[in-house]
Amino acid sequence: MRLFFSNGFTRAFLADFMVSTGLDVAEVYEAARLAALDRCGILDTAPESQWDNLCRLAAQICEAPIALIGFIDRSRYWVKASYGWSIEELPREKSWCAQALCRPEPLLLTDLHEDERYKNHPLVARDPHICAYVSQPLIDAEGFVLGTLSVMDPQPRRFSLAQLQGLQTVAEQVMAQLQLRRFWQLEEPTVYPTTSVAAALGQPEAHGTEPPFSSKGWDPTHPQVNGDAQRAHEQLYRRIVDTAQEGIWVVDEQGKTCFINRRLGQLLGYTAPEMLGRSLADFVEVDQRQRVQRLAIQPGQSAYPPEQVEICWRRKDGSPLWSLVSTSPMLEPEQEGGFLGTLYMVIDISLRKQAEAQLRQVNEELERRVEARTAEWMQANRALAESEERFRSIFTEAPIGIALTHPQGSILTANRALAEMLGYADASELVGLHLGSLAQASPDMTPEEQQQEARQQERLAKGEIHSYQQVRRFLRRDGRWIWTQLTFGRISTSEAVQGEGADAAPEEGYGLTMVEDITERQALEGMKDEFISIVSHELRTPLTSIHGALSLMATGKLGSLLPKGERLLQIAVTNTERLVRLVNDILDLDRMEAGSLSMEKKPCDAGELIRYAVETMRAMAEQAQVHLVSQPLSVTVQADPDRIIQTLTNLLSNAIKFSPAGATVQVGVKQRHAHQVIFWVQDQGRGIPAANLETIFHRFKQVDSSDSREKGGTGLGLAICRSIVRQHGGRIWAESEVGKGSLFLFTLPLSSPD
Amino acid sequence: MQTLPSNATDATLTRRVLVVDDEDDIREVAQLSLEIMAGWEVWSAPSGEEGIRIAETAQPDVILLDVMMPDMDGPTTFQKLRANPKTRDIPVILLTAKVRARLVKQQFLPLGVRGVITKPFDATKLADQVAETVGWDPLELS
Repeated sequence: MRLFFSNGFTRAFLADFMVSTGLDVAEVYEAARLAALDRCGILDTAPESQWDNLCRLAAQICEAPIALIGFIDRSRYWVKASYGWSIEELPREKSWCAQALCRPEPLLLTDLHEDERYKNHPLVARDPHICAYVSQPLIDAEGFVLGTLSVMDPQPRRFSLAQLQGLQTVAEQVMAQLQLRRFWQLEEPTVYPTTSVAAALGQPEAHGTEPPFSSKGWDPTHPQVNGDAQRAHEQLYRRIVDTAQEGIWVVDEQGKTCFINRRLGQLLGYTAPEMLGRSLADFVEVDQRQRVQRLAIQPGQSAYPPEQVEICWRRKDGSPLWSLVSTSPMLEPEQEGGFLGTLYMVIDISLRKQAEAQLRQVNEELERRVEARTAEWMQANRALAESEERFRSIFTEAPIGIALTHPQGSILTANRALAEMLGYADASELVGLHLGSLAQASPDMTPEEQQQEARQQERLAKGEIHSYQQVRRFLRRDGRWIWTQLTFGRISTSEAVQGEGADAAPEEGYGLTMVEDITERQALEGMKDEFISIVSHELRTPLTSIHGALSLMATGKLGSLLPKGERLLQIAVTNTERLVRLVNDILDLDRMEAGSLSMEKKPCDAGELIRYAVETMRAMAEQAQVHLVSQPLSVTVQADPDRIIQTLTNLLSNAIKFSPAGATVQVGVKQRHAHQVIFWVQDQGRGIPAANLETIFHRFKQVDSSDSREKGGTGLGLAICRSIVRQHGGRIWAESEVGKGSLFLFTLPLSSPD
Repeated sequence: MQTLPSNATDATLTRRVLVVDDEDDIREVAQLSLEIMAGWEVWSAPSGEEGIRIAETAQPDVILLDVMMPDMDGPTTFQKLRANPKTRDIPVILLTAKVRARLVKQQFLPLGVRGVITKPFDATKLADQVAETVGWDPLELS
């Protein structure tokens, strides 16, 4: 569950956690260690010969002139015994021994004079000029490092393994000495047994200074001894009981307290008389009673609670005291199965409990945060998986063929549609094939088109464009060719490149190719072209004849008709003209969109083009009683003059058609910026609704379908204009306010100097 | 319709024109157009060979020659007219589709073609265009 955290994350997280909780585990440990040291009662005691002897022994073993036994107090290193050098204490931070706290194992420092870390240390730089140092930690039964046994030498030297082992043995002896001391440095007991247990143990009742238990009670194997010896023995046992760091609590066969030692009284805050005669359950909260009952031993019970039980006592002041209680029955030694009561040993574990609680809190907090992060991560992961699944299905199910390729062109992955298109049973069969070897450029591609594609490839690789399209033939597996439209895109391989901005070197990315089967569309296009070609030749020739014949008749040079005949002839001429225009426009537009009608661009004067267009349209304007106003500017543009005049006359023709009599139509050109001019034609006609401003440039998309009849337009004029302007690299658009008129604008590039 | 003597020099004098086009109706409309609108004398031929033959004998003032024709096309016919001493000096105007006009001009004006008129032509203005191309005085059309 935590595996996904990197090491860096965990460290940062823990540091953050320590700061936010304010907990320091080392502080808790140090408090417990100092308490253990205090309990030994060794600090600031007078010199003792046994301790000095141990120092001398250590120095002799190591063949060194100096040895010390010292304890690490709150702020000092206190020396209990020394050999070869007299010192009482050192500031704790100046003592190497303090390092032992961090590492409960021997510390060995040699060549201190050469050691940058220590060469300025007072013990090194000044008397006694220590050069070599070895110390053995003094560790108590609970594992706390209380002090050290150190050996020092002003000469540079090494210590042998045997010497280090000897030193360890001496250190163990020092600890034994410390333990012994606790037994012998005793105060008078304050609590005595007064119950029948004591009586049963053969102890006189209410015997003020007598020890609590006779040797008979404690040591049944011990033979009866004489008065003095017995007294010494009793003295020893009494000291043991009262020195013990464990609380001793004895209850009789009814479960009533009959004895406690001094330590138990201290632990619970009661005096002995306050406790005597009461049961264990009187000293706990209600919720602990059941646990206490588990401690009880019934007479005749063969199995005893072997385990130690944690009990939380209620002290006299009401505060809780956590302890570990072990239970043992007290049996009448000379009477098989005789049950006297129960002995409880009570160990204070409140420090441990406190540390545990803090640790638990730390762990819980840690766990909680880990869970929160995990939940976040899981959610993100799930969302990611769902999103991935969605995109995967878009890829596999897309009705268009998609392939992801290596920069070199071999297929990494392809979707079902592409496999079907190319006649493969499964998309996996395409993996590894080279897309370029399957696809073939159209055979009639001109060198210019090939160059253009190479340019596009280059621009795509540089990231200047996102995609480009090409029509290609694909060889299907069954040998059939299909026509496709390919869209080439690119997926950058490095996110960093995108982040670093434009000057980052372009990296080779993966190719993304979308393939659309246009074989049918291609066939339809072919049919359309053919149809238009037929229309062109088969419709145009008879139309020309009809038109010519009718217009000659209409001149009246062949005689005059009746008025109704004239009218009919006029209708025939008008509609024939419209039909001719329509056919011409369709052919023009088709050729332009197919690109077969190339623009003959050359530098020409924009003002001249406008003047010519205005001249062409003047007759029509006069007939419609519309004023034509032009603002020609002499500026050279790169354009096909015939086509631009066609565009201008188209726009002027529209403007005149939609203007009321007496209105003005303006046409002009001005330089827009360094590389472009803008032409405009403005009328005061009825205007174009905003929704139609774009569609009017599409084929047969007049605003009102009746226009084509009334105004004689073909519905192709603006589409032709747009096609012409686009082929010049310009743009055409309209702006209009309904009821006020329209403004048509188009841009053209200026003639380039070369 | 009044026919004027061939040696007349004023603007109203009768011009003699040969129209060569394979499409019968177009050819006839062109012929009628020139006759009706300008009152010119017009011959017509459906092919290049026939056109050359008529040109040799009739010696027209101008020949309108369609570019796209089966068998012998306009340019070939033009070359043959040029190669023929009898027809060499007769001005030739090529008739061609609008989209090809530019190309045809580029190609044949340097070779001595007098001009190019695009098809489809306006029947009421064809005579005007011919006069303008050859450099005759403008017609006074009613």
